[in-house]
Amino acid sequence: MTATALSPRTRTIGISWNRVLAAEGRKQTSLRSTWWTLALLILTIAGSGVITALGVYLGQLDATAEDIGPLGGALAGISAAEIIVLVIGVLAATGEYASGVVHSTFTAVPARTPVVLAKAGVVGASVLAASAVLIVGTFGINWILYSGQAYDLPITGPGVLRSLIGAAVFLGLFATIGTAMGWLLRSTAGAVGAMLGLLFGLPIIGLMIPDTYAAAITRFLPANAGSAMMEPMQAPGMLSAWAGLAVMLGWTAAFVVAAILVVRRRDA
Amino acid sequence: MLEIQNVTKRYGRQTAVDDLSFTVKPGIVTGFLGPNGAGKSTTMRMIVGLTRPDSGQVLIGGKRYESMRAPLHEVGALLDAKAVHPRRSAYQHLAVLAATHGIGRRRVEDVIDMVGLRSVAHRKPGGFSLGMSQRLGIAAALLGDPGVIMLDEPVNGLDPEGIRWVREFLRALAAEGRTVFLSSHLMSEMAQTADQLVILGKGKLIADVSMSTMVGSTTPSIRVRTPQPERLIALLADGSVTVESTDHQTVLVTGYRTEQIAQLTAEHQIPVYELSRVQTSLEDAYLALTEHDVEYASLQRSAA
Repeated sequence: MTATALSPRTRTIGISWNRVLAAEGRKQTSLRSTWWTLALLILTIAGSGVITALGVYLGQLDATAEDIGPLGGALAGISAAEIIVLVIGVLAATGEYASGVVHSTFTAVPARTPVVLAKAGVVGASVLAASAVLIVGTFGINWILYSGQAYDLPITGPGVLRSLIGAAVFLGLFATIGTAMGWLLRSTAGAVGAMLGLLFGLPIIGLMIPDTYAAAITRFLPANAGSAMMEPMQAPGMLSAWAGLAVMLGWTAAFVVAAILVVRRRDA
Repeated sequence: MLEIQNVTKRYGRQTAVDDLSFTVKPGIVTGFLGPNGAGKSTTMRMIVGLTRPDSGQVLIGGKRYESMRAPLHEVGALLDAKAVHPRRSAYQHLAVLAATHGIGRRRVEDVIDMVGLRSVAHRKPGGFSLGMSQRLGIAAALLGDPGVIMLDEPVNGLDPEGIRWVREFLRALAAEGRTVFLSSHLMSEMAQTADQLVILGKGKLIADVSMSTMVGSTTPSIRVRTPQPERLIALLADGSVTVESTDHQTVLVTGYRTEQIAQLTAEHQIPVYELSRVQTSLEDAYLALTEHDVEYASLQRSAA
């Protein structure tokens, strides 16, 4: 390489973890669709979460303390949010293949593993952070609305804060699994389908096997481990919240490792 | 310096690249030629580690691409101009790539200006013409100011001004001592750009020759325009020459020098309107060389 008339030589330091993370972060922020999906997430979590409390506040709905529950309905939109975040995760990876930009990506970072991990990290962390703010914010709004109706909704109640944060962590981990599924299957339709199968299909299969086995197995499925993370009180037959978190971390790690192994082996 | 060493790549039963070895030297422009399906793109993908060879290896300055800490500073590659996210602006596309190497905003702006994309830098490439996409691809290849530049069909879709710009730009990069390696199907363009040619057919190396050797390899023919072609043909038809009458006045002669023809026509008082040496084009030389290696041959209208 010779000196050049083109430009002063930029710092020749090369690839680092922080730089790959920065690049993956920029990939997300530079697409308008990221902001649209965030708006959709706000609408889903906050919109669904406050509607009952708003009804009560306006005197249109009657609700007993039992109806309201310790979370005040703050997690009412979580099922829909799960679908949104799985699509966010899947698209972060399959978008690379749909456009072919994956060639540029892997030419810039030929080791590939940092890209898979950085994308998982960026998507997981941003979904977790956004969800945490939205869920706790929704709970706060509900607390205000219900306090106007003389219902107290203490965030210090047993398991309340842990459930709210648990839901956000579940969404973040599930979006992370979405990125791995996207890498594995490369097609948006296929990966979204597989993620829906993981979320809704596996528990249905669980219904078809004998109860004695089903009870032992189904609580380890992502959907059920996720439910355990969001429950203030451990439900019978379910894992504890912390065990649920451990199981979800296991699922996430397994999918991400599988994605790394496959992406490294196959021709881009 | 780019070294391809005994590289083989198979896709199922199809052998895309078959025990291929050649070297691309710095300081010159090396053209990469071959019919469709000859394995050019596969070879280029293997150079930057997108495709893994079944055997053999590629070394760039003695290193494998996958082992480089700063690959964008060593190799700049344009493989598929349309392979950009259609809704991420040209500027952001470059900025994402730059971010992986900590390349600053300044350099991103510089390469945008270099390829002339300033006015559309913040537009989405989904609406770009092929020529604009090629410029964006070239900008990406230049981001790290690399010593090796590798471009697959860079002038495809460019307007004449763009083609000339690419040609002069690549020649300038080679003159700075860089290794420039490009493929193209445009023979006239390649003839003006490349110094050395690597020619592939069915995954194998057919030729690794200099441009001057390539175009000098076949005997030149002589075009003679005369009102009495029959008399000239009669004089030349001694079996050792090919005489080809293309119209009523013009004769193409091979196997003679122009001086010999001039002498002959003067002696026999045959009027000559035109006597010129027809330089073999790269296209002719290339087609002669690869005619048996064409994967997808078109039906010949008549035997040559």
